[in-house]
Order: sequence, then C-alpha cells, then structure tokens
Amino acid sequence: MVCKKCGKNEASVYMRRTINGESSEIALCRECAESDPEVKKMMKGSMADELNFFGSLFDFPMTRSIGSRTKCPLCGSSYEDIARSGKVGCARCYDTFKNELSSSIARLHGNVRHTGRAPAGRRAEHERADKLKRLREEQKAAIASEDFERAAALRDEIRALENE
Amino acid sequence: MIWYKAKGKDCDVVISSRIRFARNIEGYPMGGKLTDEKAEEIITAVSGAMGERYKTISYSNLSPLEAQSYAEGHYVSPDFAAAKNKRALILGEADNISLMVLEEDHLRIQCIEPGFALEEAFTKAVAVDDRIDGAVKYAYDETLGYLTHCPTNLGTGMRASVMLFLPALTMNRQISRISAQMSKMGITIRGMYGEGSEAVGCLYQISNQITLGVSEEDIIKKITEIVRQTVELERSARNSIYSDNTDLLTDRILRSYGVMKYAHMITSEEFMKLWADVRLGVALGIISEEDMSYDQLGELSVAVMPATLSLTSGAQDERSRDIARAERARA
Repeated sequence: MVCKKCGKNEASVYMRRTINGESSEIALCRECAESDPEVKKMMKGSMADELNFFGSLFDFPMTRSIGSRTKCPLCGSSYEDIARSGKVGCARCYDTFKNELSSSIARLHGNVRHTGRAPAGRRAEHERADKLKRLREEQKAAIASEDFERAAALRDEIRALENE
Repeated sequence: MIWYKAKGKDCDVVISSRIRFARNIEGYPMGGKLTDEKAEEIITAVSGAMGERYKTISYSNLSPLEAQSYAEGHYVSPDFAAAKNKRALILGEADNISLMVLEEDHLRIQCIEPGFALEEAFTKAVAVDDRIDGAVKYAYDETLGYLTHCPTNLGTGMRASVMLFLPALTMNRQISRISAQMSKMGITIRGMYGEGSEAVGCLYQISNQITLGVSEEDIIKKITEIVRQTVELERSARNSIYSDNTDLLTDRILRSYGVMKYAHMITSEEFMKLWADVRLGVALGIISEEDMSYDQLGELSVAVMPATLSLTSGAQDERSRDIARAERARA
C-alpha cells in the first residue's frame, strides 16, 4: 500500500482511530509518520515513544488499546517487552506473538522455513515435512510440464505421506 | 591440544575456526525472566549431561580477573565474562569445547579449532549438541528451527566464524572493499580488536549473518569458499608488497622482532603491532620458524592479554604488566 500522505513511498505505519464508535484507518510511510502531528500526539508518553520506536527491530503496536494486553502464559512478557528489548522472554513467546513477530523475522532472515538439524525427537517429523515440501514442488513442476502421469503418482505419494 | 597453542592448516593466514550453536530449553524463561533457582536447574542438567571429563566453572564465584581471562582465551564472550547473572562455563580444554550456560541463550555450545578447520569444529560441536539433546528438551519449532532469545539466531542457531590474519590486505586498504562484497552474500567481516576497519594485530573475523532457511552444511560451505578466496587474496597481496618493498618490509619486521626480544616494557597495543609484524615475518620466511614458531606466537597472543598476564605474573598495575609482558615476550 502506498503512503496516503506523500503518495510515493510504501506505507509501513498503520493507524486506526476509534472515536465514538466510528473507526478510521490511515496508512503512512515511515518518513511521513515521523513528522505527522497526529501520530506524534498519539505516541507521546506511550511506551513506543520512550523506545525510539522508529529505530526498533520490531514493529510496534500502533494502536494503543487500553485494557487487557496479551501476555505470554509462560514468562509473562507482553509484546511491548519484546519490542523494547529486541528479545523474547521465552521460547513460548514465538507462539504467543506469532502474528506480531512474523514480519520482523521475515525482514531479518527472508520469508523462509528452517532447514538443517533438528532435535532427535523431532527429526522424523522434520524429514517428513521436508519430503512433503520437495514432493509438492516436483508435483508442481510435473503439472507445468504437462506430465500428468507423473503428477498423479506424486499426488498419491503425497497423500500417503500426509496420512502417515 | 589447546587451540591457540597449536599450529593449524593454512596458519600463515588462518588463526582459528569456530562453530557456535545457540540452544534453549523448553519451558524455561530466558534472560532476566529466569530466576536463580531455575538457572541452577539448567546448569545442573547441562553439567550432568557433559559428564566428568568436562569442568564446570561457576562464574558467580570467579574473581574479575579469572572471569576475564577465559574471554581472552576466547572460551567465553566478553559479555558473558562481564555479566552478573548466575551462569557457568563448562570447559573441555582438551577438545577445545566450551559451553556458556546462561549467556544470552540458555546454552551456547562452542568448538574452536586451530587453523582452517570448520568441518572438524562442526563435528565436535554436533557431538556435544547431540549429547545434551538426550538430557534436556530443546526449544524447537518446525518453521523457525531452534528458538533463540534473539530472533537474529533463529533456525540453525549456528554461527560459523573464522579468524584471519590479514596484514597485507590491511596495508593495501582492501578490507572495506572485501567487506562490501561479503555483506551482499550475508557474510560479515569485522576487526577483532580496536575500532573500525583498522584492526589491531590485523585480525579479522568472518562469519555468517543468516541462520534461518539455510542448513548448517550450506553455511559452512559458503564460509569455507569465502575464506579460501580471502586466503588467496592475502597471499598474493603479501607477495606483491614483499617484492615491491623487500628492504623496507624486511627492516620493519626485523625491528619489531628486535623490540619483542629486547624491550623492557611493552603495552598491549604495541605488542599486537609487533606480534603482527613478527607473524608476517615468519610467514614470509624472514624470521625462521626455529626462532619463532606459530605455536609460540599463538600462545603469546593470549598469554600477554591483561587479565591472563596479571593472573600468571601477579602484576597489579599497568606499569608492572607492561614489564611482565616484555618479559613474557623475551622468554
């Protein structure tokens, strides 16, 4: 989405305002958001303000929802805690704040899935997932090259593996 | 064989190769969220898994000098040495294995080998990883791989790094060009000591930046290839500098050797400069390996560091440390 203010840059800051039950949304690029008086007012005194929010590795929650904030059931971290330190409070946080963290992780490493070693107890599971992924790619290639016989065989193999 | 006291493969350019795994244990908070009691549980579990061949050193009980000296030997990170939380170093000096328990992650498994030996370091680190894997349950996710305190280490949790001695590329001012090329490939090169690109001792570390979506083998392959090319670049730069300035370079190297052998006081910064000249002199054959071996140079590089030197010589202040350093260099 393009920034609503300058109309040039890609928007990276999304703001939703709810006044008397009426919501409005605005999308801004980083530069415009930094100089926008509305955004400044909203951020003033908030957590993100102290934390040099624009320089942070993590996306900050722009909507200041007052009331219940999600906390990790294992370590009690909130998403703000993670965004502030750049580090999770425990391994469980990656699950608790999956949606919030996914874009930051993609920015760091690219949009990818782990490949390589796995703990002994998880290896079989991991190998199965790797094999499924490979078969699906092969199936796609077979369909693209109109080798339907091969594609059908691969489909059966994939089904069998999925039902294991 | 202690890594810094041994001569490894391609030792004219490569000082050491290191593999490090970041691991965490399921169900335990990380960093500041971890209580001392839980920290103790983790230390006990890991220490138990490693058995008696490995020494468990409780870091809370060490003097600042002792704490620092393990960082000078590269067994722990400087952050770990200076931290205040409950933590332990599990050391297998004979295998060049060190485990930092409760550094940033619950566990950092490290193997450091002399010379160009990433594969060997990897094999040893994997053996330790498997051993601990049998005793605790690692935090792991299908998509994100090994779950780490900082998301920059997700995936393999592996950092492969090679320490290089690059005096000719430093003199040629080629490092920043090389660094720009490497960063495009997800590889970083940074000076080991000192600020910016002018690394004291001409020591640089090359390591992978990306840990998620690439396998351990691919990371090692990539680093190996880049190191191999850098080694060739450094060697040819040395040859051309030497053939263009034979007398000047020989004079500089032998003067440094002279100071190292006869001075009464040497500061740590001066020492690293002398050390780099002498090491280059040995590599070029200007100083014979009988007079100064790679083993000796390696041993010296750690022995003259401030904390290690204070512990072995008893020197309390800077002046007496400089005297002790010169004494150590003459020996």
